[in-house]
Amino acid sequence: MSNKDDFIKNLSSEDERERAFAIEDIVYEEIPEAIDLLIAQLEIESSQFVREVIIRNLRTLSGSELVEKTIPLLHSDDAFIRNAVIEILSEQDELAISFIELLLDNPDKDIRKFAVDILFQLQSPHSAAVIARGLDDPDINIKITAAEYLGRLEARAHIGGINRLFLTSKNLLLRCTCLETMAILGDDESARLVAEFYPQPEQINELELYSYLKYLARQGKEEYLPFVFSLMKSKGKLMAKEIINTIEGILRRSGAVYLPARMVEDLTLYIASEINVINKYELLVFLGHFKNSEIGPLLASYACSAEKLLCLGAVEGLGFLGDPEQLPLLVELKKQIKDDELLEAVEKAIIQLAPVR
Amino acid sequence: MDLSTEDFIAIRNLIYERTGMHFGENKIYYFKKRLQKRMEINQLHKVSEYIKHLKFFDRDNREFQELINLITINETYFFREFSQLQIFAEVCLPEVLEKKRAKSDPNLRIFSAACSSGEEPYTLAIILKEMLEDFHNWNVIIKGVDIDENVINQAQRGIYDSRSVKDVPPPYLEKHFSIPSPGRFMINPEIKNMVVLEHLNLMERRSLRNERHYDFIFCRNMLIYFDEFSRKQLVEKFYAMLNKGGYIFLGHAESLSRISTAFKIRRMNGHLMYQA
Repeated sequence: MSNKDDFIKNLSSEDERERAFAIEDIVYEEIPEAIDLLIAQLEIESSQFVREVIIRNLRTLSGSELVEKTIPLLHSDDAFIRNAVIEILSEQDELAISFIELLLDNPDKDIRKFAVDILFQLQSPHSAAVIARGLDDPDINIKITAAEYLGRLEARAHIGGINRLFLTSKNLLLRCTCLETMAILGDDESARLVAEFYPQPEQINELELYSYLKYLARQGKEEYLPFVFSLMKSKGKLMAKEIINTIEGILRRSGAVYLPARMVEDLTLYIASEINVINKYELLVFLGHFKNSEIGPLLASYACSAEKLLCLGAVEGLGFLGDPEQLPLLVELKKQIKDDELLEAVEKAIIQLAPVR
Repeated sequence: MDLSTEDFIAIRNLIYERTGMHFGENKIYYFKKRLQKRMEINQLHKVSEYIKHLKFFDRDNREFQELINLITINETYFFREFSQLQIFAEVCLPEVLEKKRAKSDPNLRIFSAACSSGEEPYTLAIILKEMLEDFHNWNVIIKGVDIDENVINQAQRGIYDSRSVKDVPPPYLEKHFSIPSPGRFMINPEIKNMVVLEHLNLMERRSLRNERHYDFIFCRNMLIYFDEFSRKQLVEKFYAMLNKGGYIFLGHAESLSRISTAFKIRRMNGHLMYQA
């Protein structure tokens, strides 16, 4: 009997280990019928261990035969098999796109959704154009998925489709997804549409507000800052992360060197409020990028905090600020602290304040 | 370098999805230093660019692996992760022994994967020696393997410094070690003879096919050094090595989530245990 016959015989062994070894050997020895044998075994295999071995070995193969023969398994009732096939197809090269694209015309919306998922995971420059077909799918979930994936792929060529969907959709989730994709891909038209759609941002409902802030964080201009600062007072604890991201995003893009005094006051109060310590850390580091005279003493007051993250944030902020007046404080701090990480941060800040010549 | 909370969370989530390791927010600075190093090597200037690189362009996971190697500390010492060893000794071991007694099976086999300089297999030997009242009725085999021949040679010598034995309970230290010179600790022959050490590449295709009927496999803090595909491959090999009902022990921050669904999951004293 040849090796091949042995392997095929072992596929029927009562010992699951022997079946698993046979699978490995069939693929390793490049038996020409490997794909057929593995798929046939997958459909009858009862051991989860062996099923996983089959899938892993199928993943080592590639080519149009594999794509064509695994696509029908997307219809399986077994979620493990469906997910495994998505994984296999997602690892193929661009040749798979033409096969997957055909699935977008399938009457079953689950199959169409799998197709969009696979196209996204293929990460090919050509998959975005096919995913964009999903924006016109009759199923709302597929529209939402396609809109999200185009953003994640940074497929700028498709911003027109996203803008159109944002404007015409009555579905809140789809609109939120479009906003978040516009945050990444947005153009002048997106900015105009968003400004027109939300003439009074303070009236936006809470769910939509998260996406709106994500948009502003990446695309908003300084004119939005008063609104964002007003949110600090009304929703400052609930939406701390989004608010901080938005303030940081807008101010960084603006290139400001000094902040209006009122903003420093508001941010000082915000740091002292009950937001999470990681948010305070982030704000302290961020404030170090501005040259207002109040910022040095503010950071210095937190540099001696017993809370490590606050201390770290203030020290890093002082490093960015680069104000030599704060040098004695850092030198003193260096003598006192025991924590290795903190010590390293202090040493780095000292160098930033007094660079070695 | 500015590492925003958003970037930190994005990297943290990516690491969690791929390895099961979770890092708290207090690790942000620790991350920053290591990220900066990797970004410099990759000539990337923004954290967002690095994240994008990991997600979209690092298809063989090489860079991700470099990052993981940098943020995990590879250290080994006797009685490492004591609470997990306690579960082994007090819960899993009695359960397995009871089943074996019922079947009159006197064999007890333990495999220590990537055992390095031998601290783990010798720790397990000490535990068995201490826990098994009827020790002499059992045919115990503890096998430790490693790909690095130098560390296997070191393990065979069985001599350690004080850092390696810092967590050995003092009565065990006195009982199972001798002191050949100040600051050196040598494992006693009785314990040493319980352990078989071998130089072995776990990833070699057929390397573990003849290793069967193990009751416990310890591969703690090792899977993190492999990419996703190799992890699956290795865990499949381990599954094939285990008896039904046998246990695999991972590091406290590791899990088999997204690696294998073949094992039964059991939660014991806050630890996840995986049973074949």
